[in-house]
Amino acid sequence: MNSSIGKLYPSTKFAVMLLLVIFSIFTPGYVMQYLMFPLVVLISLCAGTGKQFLGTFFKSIFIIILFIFAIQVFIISNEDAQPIWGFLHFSQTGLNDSLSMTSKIVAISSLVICFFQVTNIKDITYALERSGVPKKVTFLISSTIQLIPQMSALSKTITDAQKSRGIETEGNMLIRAKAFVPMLGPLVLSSIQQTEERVLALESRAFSSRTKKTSIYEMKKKTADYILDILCIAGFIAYILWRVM
Amino acid sequence: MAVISLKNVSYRYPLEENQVIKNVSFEIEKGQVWGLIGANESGKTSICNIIRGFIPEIYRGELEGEVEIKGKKIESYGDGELASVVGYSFQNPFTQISGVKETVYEELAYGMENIGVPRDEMIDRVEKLIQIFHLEKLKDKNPFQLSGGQKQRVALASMIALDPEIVILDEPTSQLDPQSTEEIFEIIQLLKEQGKTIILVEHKIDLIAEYCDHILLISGGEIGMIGETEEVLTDPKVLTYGGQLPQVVLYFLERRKKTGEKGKIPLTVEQAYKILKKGGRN
Amino acid sequence: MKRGIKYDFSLLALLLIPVGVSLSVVGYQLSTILKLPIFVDQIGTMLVSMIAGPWVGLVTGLLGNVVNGMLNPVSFGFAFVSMVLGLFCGFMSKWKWFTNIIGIVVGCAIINVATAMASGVVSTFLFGGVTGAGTDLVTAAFLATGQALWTAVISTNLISGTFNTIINFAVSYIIVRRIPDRFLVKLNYGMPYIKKKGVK
Repeated sequence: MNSSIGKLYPSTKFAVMLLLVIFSIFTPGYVMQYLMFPLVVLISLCAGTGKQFLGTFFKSIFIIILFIFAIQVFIISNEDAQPIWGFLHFSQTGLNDSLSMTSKIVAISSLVICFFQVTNIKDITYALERSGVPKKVTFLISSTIQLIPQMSALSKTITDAQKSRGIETEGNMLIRAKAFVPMLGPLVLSSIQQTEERVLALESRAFSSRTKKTSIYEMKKKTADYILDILCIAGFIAYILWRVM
Repeated sequence: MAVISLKNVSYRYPLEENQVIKNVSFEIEKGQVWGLIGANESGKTSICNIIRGFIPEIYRGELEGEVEIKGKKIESYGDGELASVVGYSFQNPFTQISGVKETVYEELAYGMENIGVPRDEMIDRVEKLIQIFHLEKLKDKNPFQLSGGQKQRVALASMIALDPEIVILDEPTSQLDPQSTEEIFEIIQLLKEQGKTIILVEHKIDLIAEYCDHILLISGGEIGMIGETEEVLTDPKVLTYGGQLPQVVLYFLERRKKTGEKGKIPLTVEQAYKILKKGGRN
Repeated sequence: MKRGIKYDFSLLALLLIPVGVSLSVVGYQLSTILKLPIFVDQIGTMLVSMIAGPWVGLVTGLLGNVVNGMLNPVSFGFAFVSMVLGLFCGFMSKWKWFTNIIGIVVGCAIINVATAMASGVVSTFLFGGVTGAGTDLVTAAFLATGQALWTAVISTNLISGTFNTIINFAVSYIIVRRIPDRFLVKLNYGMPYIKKKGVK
């Protein structure tokens, strides 16, 4: 996040992402879409999140893409299907469908993964707040982001505790399924209990105040942001002209 | 003029048949420090919640009678307005952080952000709070990662950040070690010097005797005893209402019974020492 | 009674959403630890929608998928399914369906069909019938028998969804039943689950 890309204003990064997503959706064919992938890899490398990006991409999107090809090309019985062996056959229509579908998935997913990896959630909530999004919405985002790691840690503690008390986490499926409720129950009930008290604590910090919220954290748009914003708008207009003509 | 005034206040929690607060009336003047004592479940926390408006706003249920804060009916305060008039710190340190901030520094500013304090002023106030509450080493830490005592200190500081005229402290030290307890009481002393009106719920009766000038003893949802500390806390009747007496007072009551001595009963060890020293000379 | 959506989003409800979201995340983690074949990753959404209403439930579902989507963008696509789940579950709870066994059975059946359809729409149109999970093999098996993509996807979803819905519902329901009255009373939709009798 300390790279020059990481330091851009979130709405700038969002505009760039949105423009590239629009390109990917409305341009026919699949070459341009697939080219988004190396482009995003390049951006990620510049932002210092290259390794992170590739890790996430191959763990999630890559698998689904293989599945799509397998099902569309070899399994679905299209009219042009050429039998290979048993229920497997080759379909050109399926291949074309897969290419157009997966290329869009690759492009859009890469852009989205990259956006979240180079943008701090704190910056996003700050920008949302500045642009007049209700306080309750930004509160929800920040508190969720803050809470998840706490809950994960808590669930680990509880799992360990239950294991040491002899609750079965091995064995047949029914036994394992039965372990679920005693593991989750205390976690839920204690977190619910806490929300009750946290309401009071937040009200004590004037959460319900109707005054416009200020922020001690500050982030300003810089020249680079303005340049990129203008480029995005220009790119968008040029794209529309090109597509319509 | 009274800053806090309750007139014939009664309250029943939803789903409950009995009232937890029964026809309670009292007034608190500006700058006074009140100790709110009584047995467990006697209604101390309910009284605090009524003064802060959480009853009935959040707890729902039925509230009767009149509550006035700074001469204004409590219902007439707008959403979130009371937060900067009545500060409230709670027993459980773990639920007192906002849960939306990444650092203690930002956590301290959260309340001020909500009431729209300009950024420069916020930074000033936060810096000052960090100094007063000795938070220099904690300011860049994630509030979730703090210990109980540290969270309590940060919560207290965040509450004071809103500069409320009235401060309610509901057993602020019940879950803290002696070291942290001492730190909290140093802060209470500071607030007292700043002329804040303070309501302190606390089981450590010796500390109440030392810091509070008035006592409100609640018993079974009603006022058991009310008055200046030296009157109330030297009266053995406190015990019949489920309250406690300071060690020093207990000792002196016992002693007087035997010797038949008359005179003022001391509240604190310091006062006792003076009296005993004088007695020794005579 | 007309109170508007804004009324549903009280501060308490607002604080329940992150809890619901993290529960779903944690539920997912625990499923992996216990090596269960079904992901118990919707308890949060179900639980919150039961006690805080359909709209809060919808937001919980959405946010849960958005959070997962930051790591796996496929999840963004399926946000629609979680939103449908939260909405349906919330309305049924509001109409007091979950206070008797018939209501629960019918409710779960409807939830199952609704989420299977929603998930079918998303996976067919966005991902060519694929979800990226093990159930894709079932879809492949249906396809191999010569079924059309849409029917194969819906069939798979209905089958796997039945177990999923039952288990997720059972866990959430048991937990809701254990929430103290004192807390339920503060929620706008907690009334059907209050154990004490004689309350309006």
